[in-house]
Amino acid sequence: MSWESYPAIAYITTVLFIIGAVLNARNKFKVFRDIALWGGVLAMAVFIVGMWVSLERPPMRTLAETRLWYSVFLSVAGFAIFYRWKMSWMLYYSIGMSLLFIFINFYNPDTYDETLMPALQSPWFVPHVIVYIIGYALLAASTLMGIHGLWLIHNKKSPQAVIERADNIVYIGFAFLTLGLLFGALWAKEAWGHYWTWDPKETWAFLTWFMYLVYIHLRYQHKKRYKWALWSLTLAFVVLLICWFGVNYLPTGENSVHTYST
Amino acid sequence: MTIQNEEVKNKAAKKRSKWKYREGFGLLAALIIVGFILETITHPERVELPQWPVNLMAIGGYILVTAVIFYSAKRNSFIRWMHSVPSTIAAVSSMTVLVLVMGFVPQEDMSGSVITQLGITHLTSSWPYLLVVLYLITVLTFTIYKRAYPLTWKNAAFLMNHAGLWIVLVAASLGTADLKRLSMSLNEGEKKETAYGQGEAKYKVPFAIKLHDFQMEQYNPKIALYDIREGNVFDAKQTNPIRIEPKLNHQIGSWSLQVKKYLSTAVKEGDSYIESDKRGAAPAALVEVQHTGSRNISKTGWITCGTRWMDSRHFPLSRRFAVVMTRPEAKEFASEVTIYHKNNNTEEDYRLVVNQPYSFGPWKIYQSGYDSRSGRYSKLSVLELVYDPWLEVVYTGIIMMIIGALYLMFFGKRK
Repeated sequence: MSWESYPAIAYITTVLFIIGAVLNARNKFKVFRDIALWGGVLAMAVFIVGMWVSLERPPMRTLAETRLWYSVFLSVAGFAIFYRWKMSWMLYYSIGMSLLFIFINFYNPDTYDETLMPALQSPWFVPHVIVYIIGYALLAASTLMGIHGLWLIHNKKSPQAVIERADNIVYIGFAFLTLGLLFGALWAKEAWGHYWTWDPKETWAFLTWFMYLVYIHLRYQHKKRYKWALWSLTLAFVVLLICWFGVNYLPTGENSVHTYST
Repeated sequence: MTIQNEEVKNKAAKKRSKWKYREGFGLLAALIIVGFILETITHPERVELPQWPVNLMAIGGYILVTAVIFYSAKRNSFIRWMHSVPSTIAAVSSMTVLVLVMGFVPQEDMSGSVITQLGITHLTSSWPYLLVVLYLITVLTFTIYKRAYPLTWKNAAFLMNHAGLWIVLVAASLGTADLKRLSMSLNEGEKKETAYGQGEAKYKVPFAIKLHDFQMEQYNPKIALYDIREGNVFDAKQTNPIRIEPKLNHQIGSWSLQVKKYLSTAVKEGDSYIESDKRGAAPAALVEVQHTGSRNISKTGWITCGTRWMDSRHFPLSRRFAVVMTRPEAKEFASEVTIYHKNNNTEEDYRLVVNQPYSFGPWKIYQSGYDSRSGRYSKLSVLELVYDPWLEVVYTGIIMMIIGALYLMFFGKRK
């Protein structure tokens, strides 16, 4: 399977996700809703596996390839939160975000390229990227809860329930972020000779990690200072986005060893 | 609870809350300002951290001093404030701000520039940064002392995260003073025991390395429809350029390309190419191109990307278009070496590949580079020799943090 079959897969997933969302809004045919939602995820997952097989390497090298994983993990994380806490908006949000990434890839696919430079040929490659993508997906979900919380404050309502749910997600997301960072360090020692060289991507990953550290400590101490915590949560995600997409465009990013796109 | 008790508690709480965020950020701002002043005074010298064994003694002394301070002045309101959340947040935020600067400003010194004078272009070895890190480590230290007793499960997980981070921060910052990254270039058949550090400083290493053979595997090169007028690959997208496979059939725009013959190593003979395993031979392909639009052209021609010893060749289609072959990319490169240990007179054969360094004791030997002009015919291999006696300490901290992260993942936030 290659990018050439992507439009068909993107179409299938889009249609299934929309069916799932509509059925949920109508509150009808729950079984079909579930089949549609997970069918959409499955289609993308099959595409990723197919790419992996045909490229003979994990499709994780370029930004477009990581977007594929993101659309899968974001929907899985969103659906899981939806089932766990019955938050319909989380379902629509994860579908929306997932579709956004699917469409970005539709209009902006990568060069079809099966090469994997020697530095990336490592058993660390897959766990490093997957753990990060899961962390990003969870933290994206928590950000939305944060914005929801700010909206509640704006409307003079208590965001307590929302922020407590966000805390759970942040803890898990932060744990994944930590693992991604540490796996990256262990891999860097094997590939580049040192575990930390303040490469621009490393710098921004460190910043992201520290931003969530601030949120966690704020929440730990000030259970009622909602505004502080919610703003720090939102800001942390901005830094995360710079780390993921932005580094390539920064003056510091030119020399990054993490820039692999052709 | 009696009223009296409550009053005492309230008093204690008031005493504790004397210092909060404003004071915390004020203290950190003062530290950073002092750092910048120190930096301008000591410029252009960079801050150099002490090497072995002074760094170890410094760590020992630091632990001793902080422990004595903490356990003798546990109830002192300043010490209490030091390991409070406001102080932590002030430290973490200040560190974030400094690293944020590093995220935007390229870390290359420019002589005569003010930001270089302030240390901003070599932030990690500047005073403001080191003072903030020292402060952060001190906050962590007191926090760890505070939570080390009683050692419940919850505190154990807490310590995995905090002490793990402490070990990583301390060992990584002080360890860099002992870190050596050396480079050794070897020709096939050559045996060496000296390597070069930064600024051509020569080092004798406790082993010798002999290079037997340098090997490289390459991906097939790519074929591209080139726009001569624009000076780039035509309509660059997912299918142009595309990797050459024998018998590849491919459409780019209104051109249909067919690979009639593909030779992975070829030399020129007359006006065509033949298979050859001579040094300097390059990939070559015979391509048939048809214009599927209005012009009914069908042409056949050779293309090759060439090597240092052989010219490249493109295949012109029109005034605007030509078919070209890109240089192949490396799939794997490796050095067959023997490592001779001087201390016990043993030797070991090893195949050095990227991502698979050879390690013994505090040393790791990496496949780093080769003569890129010669590509797969390089007889030169560049190795990197890294000496890091602190690595195992840092790894201990990393493993503790991994355990702490797993705890967070499964138990999350305790109510």
